[in-house]
Amino acid sequence: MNKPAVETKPNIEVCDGNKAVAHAVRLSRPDVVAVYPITPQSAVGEWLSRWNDEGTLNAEVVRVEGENSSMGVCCSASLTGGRVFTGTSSWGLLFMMDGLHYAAGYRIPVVMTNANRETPGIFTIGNSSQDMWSVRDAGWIQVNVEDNQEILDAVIMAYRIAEDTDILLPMMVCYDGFYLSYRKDPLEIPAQDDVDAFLAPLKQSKRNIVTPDDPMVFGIPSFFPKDQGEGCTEFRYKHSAALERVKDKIDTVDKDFEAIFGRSYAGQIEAYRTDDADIVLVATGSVCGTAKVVVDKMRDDGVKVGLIKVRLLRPFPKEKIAKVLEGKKGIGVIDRSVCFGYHCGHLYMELKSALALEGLPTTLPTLNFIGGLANLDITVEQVETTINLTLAASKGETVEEVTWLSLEE
Amino acid sequence: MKGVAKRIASHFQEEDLLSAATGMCPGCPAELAARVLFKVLGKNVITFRTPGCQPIFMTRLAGIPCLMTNIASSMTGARRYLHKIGRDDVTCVAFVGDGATADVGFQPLSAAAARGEQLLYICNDNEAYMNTGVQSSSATPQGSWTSTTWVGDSHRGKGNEVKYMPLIMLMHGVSYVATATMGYYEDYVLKVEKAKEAVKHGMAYIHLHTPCSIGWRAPQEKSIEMSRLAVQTNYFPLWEAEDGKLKFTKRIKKPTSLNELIKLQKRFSHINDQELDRLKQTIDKRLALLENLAVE
Amino acid sequence: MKFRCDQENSWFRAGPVLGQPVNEWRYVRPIIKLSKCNNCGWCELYCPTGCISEEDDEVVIHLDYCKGCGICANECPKDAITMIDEEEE
Ligand code: SF4
Ligand code: SF4
Repeated sequence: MNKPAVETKPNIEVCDGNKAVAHAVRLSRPDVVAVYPITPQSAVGEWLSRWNDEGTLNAEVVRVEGENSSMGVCCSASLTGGRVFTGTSSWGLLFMMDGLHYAAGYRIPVVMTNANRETPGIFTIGNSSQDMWSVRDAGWIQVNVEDNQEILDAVIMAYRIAEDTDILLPMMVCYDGFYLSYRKDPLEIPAQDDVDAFLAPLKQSKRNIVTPDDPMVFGIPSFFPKDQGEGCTEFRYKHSAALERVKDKIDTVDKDFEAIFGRSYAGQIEAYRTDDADIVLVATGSVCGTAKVVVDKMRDDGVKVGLIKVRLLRPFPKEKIAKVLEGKKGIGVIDRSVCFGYHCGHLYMELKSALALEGLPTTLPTLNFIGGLANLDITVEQVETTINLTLAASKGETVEEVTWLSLEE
Repeated sequence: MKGVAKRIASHFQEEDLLSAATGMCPGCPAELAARVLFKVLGKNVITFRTPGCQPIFMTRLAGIPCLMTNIASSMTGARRYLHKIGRDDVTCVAFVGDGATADVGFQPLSAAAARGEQLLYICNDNEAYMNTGVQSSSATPQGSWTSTTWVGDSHRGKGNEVKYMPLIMLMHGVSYVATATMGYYEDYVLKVEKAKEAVKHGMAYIHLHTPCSIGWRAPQEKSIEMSRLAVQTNYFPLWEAEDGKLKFTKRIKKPTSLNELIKLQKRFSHINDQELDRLKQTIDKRLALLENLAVE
Repeated sequence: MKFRCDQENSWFRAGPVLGQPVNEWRYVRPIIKLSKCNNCGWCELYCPTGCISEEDDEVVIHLDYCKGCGICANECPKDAITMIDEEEE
């Protein structure tokens, strides 16, 4: 068997988002990888299979027959002690929904990527955040990233977070399908030694594994006297509390990452030019790139606007967001998905409840903009519109609460 | 212990690894089959199971509870990781119902078989979704009453023939396939031993027929007798296939009348001559197919 | 917050699993007539709950774990086991 190639120096390579995922996974040295194709992330599995066959990746690659099997392979391989990976998107993500709950419920540190894509029902092959939001209650850690370098770095960091014995939860790194999965950028591919050093602390941590040498059984222990409900309540609480611990963990892991690799993503959220801002846009994913450009442009024109890029979706970083938004005069939330039953976008719905829970005034003008469904671009002009409308609302003008950008006349 | 019983017991490697009396119904042959399974396989296993009538819930063995939708893939993940760390000595064994095998978990099972995963898969075929209250599965025989196939003016029990899993598995090219039943105790034990060996080269699949007194509405003390009758009537022929070579392990020279088996089961109490004939034809057809495939 | 389990997740080290007594399940119970028994061992092999064993050349049924299924009586080649009503002495 060929030994994995060991890069001793970081290396610049032009690659798309899918290859960025594959590099990150390869560098993290997984034991078992499950691959199944689905547009727009199929290249993740192609690269990993190829590198494994060529000998630069030393993993068991299982070419499964469907996504519910990807999750089955990953969960059991992880339960028996392995480091695992799979990637998916949209229809595939929904096809493993039972597995998603299973992984989180048993606290299995699966690391998975999801290339965000529209969900089935209207036949589209394009980007949106509909898939990633619709699994937000499965109990996973979810982050959503802005660009390809961040994909690569976030996947490596995901192992440090998921497999940490303080956490032990599955983690999903989401990235915008099509926009990032197919866009090519020059990326810094870290050196293997550096990644090994970064992930080394996990070697010390001992987690329970399933082995014939020391059998573990699953279920509610019999010392819960009344019934399963008491046991279930306790484990649900612990799961939820572990998710809360992720907030600090992602911040510290980000700092550790910066110390070795020199790049930081500010952990839970990135607050961009928000300090002296009157109004703030809130967005997640690749649209943040466009939004930053527009914020800079409007700043030049004297508009005091900033941006919160939400990286962590689950647990939702409500404290950090509220802290940034305290005292602001208007908020505009950009969504790439529809939260059915609330007739608005998901991030908007999340943000509104976060603000209420954190005690910010409910009178704070807060607007929602829905755009970018099924690969529609959210253009510079549209972002300008969101800022102008938010500004108007902040000055007391009456503005529609939810604007569906491409439906505007 | 004497004679044949003693000979059978000589194959046991281990003491009983299940708890004394599991939560299975009285007289369930699956509880017995699981006890015997681990006496033969020993402790160096990881067990896999799904929600359902799975007696291995109460064992002292390492085990992973799986989803019904992906048990064969779950086994794959563990098996591959164990291989990577050099633990090929550990047998990954599933004891799973006919619903999870032939219906909702079929896709992963088929794929794992086609990939040649080194798994020991035992299908506990009691011919319906018994744990959830006797709903029809694709292993339910034609004409049988279940709680989703009623007998009335417009339908008379289940309409379709069974999906005959053992042959389907054989056509996947797995390394060992066998049918078994507790009525033929030694046959089962020998097949488990062969499967344990075969699993070193690929998948081993044992289709275990386990009469269910609750779902079949039959007397509980007759469950072993029925499993023997099922073989003697050719309702459930016993065979095995090593590397694709099918041979009968029990030839029935003078088959018992199918009626002897059917009359014990109230799920067939409505059956008329014409329907019994149709069931016989299905059985004859299957037997003829097996005879054609058999090398011995 | 009061927790009963020291584990983070709902899986734990398997101790010896002894099983729950199942006396209550039963409405008939097996009685063995030792004069008829030839110690062939089939009942021991066939009891689904594993509650029959041979002790000092004598077949013993551990009734705590007997579900009263009647398989032992049905399978005994010597008809040495009969099922009697649980109420009977
Ligand atoms: S009645 Fe059933 S459970 Fe009881 S000893 Fe006989 S076979 Fe075992
Ligand atoms: S089966 Fe009957 S004869 Fe044989 S040991 Fe049991 S009681 Fe005795």
